[in-house]
Amino acid sequence: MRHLKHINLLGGSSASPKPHECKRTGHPSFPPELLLCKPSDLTSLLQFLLATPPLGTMAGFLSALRRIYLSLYNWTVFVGWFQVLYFAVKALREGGPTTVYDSVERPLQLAQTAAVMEILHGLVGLVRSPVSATLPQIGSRLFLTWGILWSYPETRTHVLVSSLVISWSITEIIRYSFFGMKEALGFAPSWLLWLRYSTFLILYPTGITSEVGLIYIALPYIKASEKYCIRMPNKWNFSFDYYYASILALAIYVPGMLSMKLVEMPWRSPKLKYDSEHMISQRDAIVACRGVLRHLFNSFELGNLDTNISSNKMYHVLSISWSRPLGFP
Amino acid sequence: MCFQATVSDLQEAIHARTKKYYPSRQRLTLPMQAGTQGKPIVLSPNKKLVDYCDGNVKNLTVVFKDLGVQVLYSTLFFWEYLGPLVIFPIFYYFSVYKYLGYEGDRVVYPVQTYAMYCWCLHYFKRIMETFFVHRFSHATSPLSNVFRNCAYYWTFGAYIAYYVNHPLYTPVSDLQMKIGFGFGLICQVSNFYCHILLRNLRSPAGNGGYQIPHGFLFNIVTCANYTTEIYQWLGFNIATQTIAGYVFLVVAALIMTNWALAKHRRLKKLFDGKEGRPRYPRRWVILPPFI
Repeated sequence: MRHLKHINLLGGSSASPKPHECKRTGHPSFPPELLLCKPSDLTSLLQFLLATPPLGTMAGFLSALRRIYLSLYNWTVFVGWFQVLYFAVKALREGGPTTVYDSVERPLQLAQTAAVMEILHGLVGLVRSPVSATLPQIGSRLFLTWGILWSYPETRTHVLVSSLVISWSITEIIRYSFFGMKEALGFAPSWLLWLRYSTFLILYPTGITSEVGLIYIALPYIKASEKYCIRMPNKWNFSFDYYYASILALAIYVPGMLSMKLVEMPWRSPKLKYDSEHMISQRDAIVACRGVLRHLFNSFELGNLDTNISSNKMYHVLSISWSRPLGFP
Repeated sequence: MCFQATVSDLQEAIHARTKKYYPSRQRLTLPMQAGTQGKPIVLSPNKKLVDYCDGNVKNLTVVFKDLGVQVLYSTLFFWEYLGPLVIFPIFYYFSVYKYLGYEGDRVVYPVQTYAMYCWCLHYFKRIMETFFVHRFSHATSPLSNVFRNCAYYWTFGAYIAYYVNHPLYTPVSDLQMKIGFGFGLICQVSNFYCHILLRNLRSPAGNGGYQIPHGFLFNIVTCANYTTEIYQWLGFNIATQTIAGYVFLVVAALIMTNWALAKHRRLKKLFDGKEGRPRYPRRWVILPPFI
């Protein structure tokens, strides 16, 4: 026997279940992968069901709260980086490269340290970027901001500080405004996405060069000082030498960053029609629902499920046809 | 087509045609239906080709994948374990620290000597088990794994050896040392026994080589061999007390837990209680009472 059921589902939920990586490609993945990868995880199933607005005003309220919080976060940090760029350019024109650090110190430290929140967002599931990608990026930024520039004042007057600060601030301004718009307005203009990927090609090399250069310049000062070093003998038989650790960091810096960033490049994931870090698209929601249904049907052996997703301008339609197994009431 | 032909006959035939692709390098699978998801069915070398034909006896399409240069598992294990076995005594016996800036003579504590014996016994045991005890399910492993695994073992070996044999090493109390090494030794012996039990489990036929493990600690925990391994390292670390050793313990435990979860899941899926197969009993996965 065949029963045909048409279910119209308006997608567009902005809450997301726990971020997950596709085991095959390592990219941040769609919710269906999550459900397919952990078949017995009913909590993630429930979590996703709660996330679609038609299923509860509570869920809708929470997702709106999330959007407001993320918009505030992104725009606030945007303002921070804008300040950095403004003061940096102002200092360059007025005093020259040696005065840049002193003008930007506070906003730089605040804006860069605020980025630690992004790791939290990823862990908690507020945002879908994988922690494994954000952690090294933020780690290297904090290493430079606090571990080199703040700890060793002798490096602050070097010309590479200017190039570092300008590369970072332009990149971050574009990035945070992009996410800020996505959260606040639901979309980001395509020119901004274009700007993001194009400026990356220039600013990333200049940023990396400045970072590596500054670490290299700081090395003699690091060696001369005992800062952050732990020496033997001690009860736990442990030692840490900041000088050799920095050299190790230098050694893995360029290959590490290259391998990380090359993964993110748009030509690696041509099928992504939206930014993978935030928000489920409408289509995602529909595909996830289909995944949920398939999983339910398979786990409880409810019979054969045929699905089809079609779209018109307004919404996506998930059509289901279900043939009941013999003997099913 | 000969009805008795097995998949390994097909692999030999392919190898005869293409000198480069010896059978362990070939991965033959049935073609995936367009649009379906999931893993393709891999052709098992022991089975007959007719088993995969699905009714259509005249024709069978297989998909060929080159797995890259392969090495025997025993080769892989030998090289990765040889490193630590050799590196630790180098730090113990030779005056390496002179070149690292620590002049003068070293005082060697008893715990450092016992640590060296314990460590070398462990890796010597592992090499012996590789050649005489373990029965491997897949005969080979890609060559790149040799470099990756050797990097892991050799780097950690050097890292721990550096601190345990350091001229400025601070030993723990005598009692703590005895407890640590004693516990570690018990776990090493248990680990060896677990490997013997696993070896006797594996028979060539049936269930793709999988059985429900039983006997000794396997009655309460699925991967008792990993459990004893982790606790053995804990014993070593209690006795030697280095951060480096504990870091190694945590990393190794994480890796083994990953494997244990996969194995536990696989066994539960295989032994689901249907069609006359026994049902997999409720057990700890790897580390009672945590998981």
